[in-house]
Amino acid sequence: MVRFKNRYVCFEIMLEPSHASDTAQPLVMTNQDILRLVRENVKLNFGDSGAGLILAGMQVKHFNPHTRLGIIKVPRDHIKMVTATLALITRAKKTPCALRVRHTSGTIKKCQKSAIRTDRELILAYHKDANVAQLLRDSESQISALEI
Amino acid sequence: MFYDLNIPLPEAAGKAGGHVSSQEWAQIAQTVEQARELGYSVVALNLTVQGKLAPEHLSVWNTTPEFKNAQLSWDRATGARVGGATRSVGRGKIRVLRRLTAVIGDAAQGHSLASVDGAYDIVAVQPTNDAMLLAACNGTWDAVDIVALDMGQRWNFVAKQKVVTQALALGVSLEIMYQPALAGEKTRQQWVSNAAAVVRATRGRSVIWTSAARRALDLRAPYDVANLGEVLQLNGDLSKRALAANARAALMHAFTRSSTLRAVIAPKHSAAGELEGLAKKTRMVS
Repeated sequence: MVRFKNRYVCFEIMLEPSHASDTAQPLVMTNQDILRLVRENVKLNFGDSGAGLILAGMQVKHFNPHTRLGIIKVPRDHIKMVTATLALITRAKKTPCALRVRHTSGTIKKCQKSAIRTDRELILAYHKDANVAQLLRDSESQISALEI
Repeated sequence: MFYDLNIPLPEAAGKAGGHVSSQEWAQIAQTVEQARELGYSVVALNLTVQGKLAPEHLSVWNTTPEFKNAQLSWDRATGARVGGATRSVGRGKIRVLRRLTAVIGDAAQGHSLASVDGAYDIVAVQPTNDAMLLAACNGTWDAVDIVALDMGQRWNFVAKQKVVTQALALGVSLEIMYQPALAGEKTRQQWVSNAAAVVRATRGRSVIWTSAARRALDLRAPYDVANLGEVLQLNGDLSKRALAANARAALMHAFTRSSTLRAVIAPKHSAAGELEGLAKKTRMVS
């Protein structure tokens, strides 16, 4: 049976160091915004054909504006094209940024685990205010609730 | 171990009487710190000099600020080199080296390369035409570890395989910097064209990835850089090697060239003139 295989990519958006140290500024982006960001950049770098190849299969599973950590689902055949594009992204909605791929996996389970762990590190590093426990709980429950 | 052997100092620093302002140093320090967070263990600060080299260029390094969590390869007070390439880096720390890139347009400029031997950890050459590319690759100048080619500009020469393989045989690496790929549409196209040409000429061996990062956001995590190779037909394993093993080989080449005697003797703390003294004593130099 021919199975349609995917890759789940856990990535983090890095902002200018001066912004990042201002802890609380979340990057205001929704799942739709992330999708559009990736699609536009794939089109920019790989043309209409590249963008078309991932049009159907790509999906944003999760994005946490506080820690700027996200998970996207990409068809396995085109994962190299997408990860190359992620490395070339320089702006997200007019904010200068850089992307960093934290983990790639064939199933969402391992990606979830990695995302929870990374999210935790990021929250503890950057959000040293009273909300920490709440943020941690929220992020963990959100990520765990993802379905395939 | 991941290496980033090109974090450039501002261009003005390479001109006669140039210096780096404290603001610019602060930005460089931020970039180095970001490199450390992304997982790089060794970075090299790169001074680019057009044409003739002079000892005054060394004075640029007198004003280096305090780098957090970094281990410098030179003594901040005196500017002298400290230790060898193999000194181990503490956990969570980053090693900072000094690199020189000489942009060379004719043979006369190339002669001045000999004068800075030993002062820098890595010496690179950026040829601007065919003849200089050949000179850089066939060993005319002893003091070359890396051949850098401007990735954002159109070249007026062709990187031929015949010329480039001579460099590989000598242990000289070719550098692919990825900052032009992030700079804008036109430079990105030129970058792909140039970088793919380098990959084709070298077949992926002895190629090193460097960032040429002007600010912290120009840096990419090591595996993301390796993924960029996909665009250049540099396959996964070769791309990863370009980040780690090849860069280490370039460092070793530099270390062997400057701190050892005929690659046999390496004094523990190489002071200026000690190698020549040793050479005379052991009669290895006539």
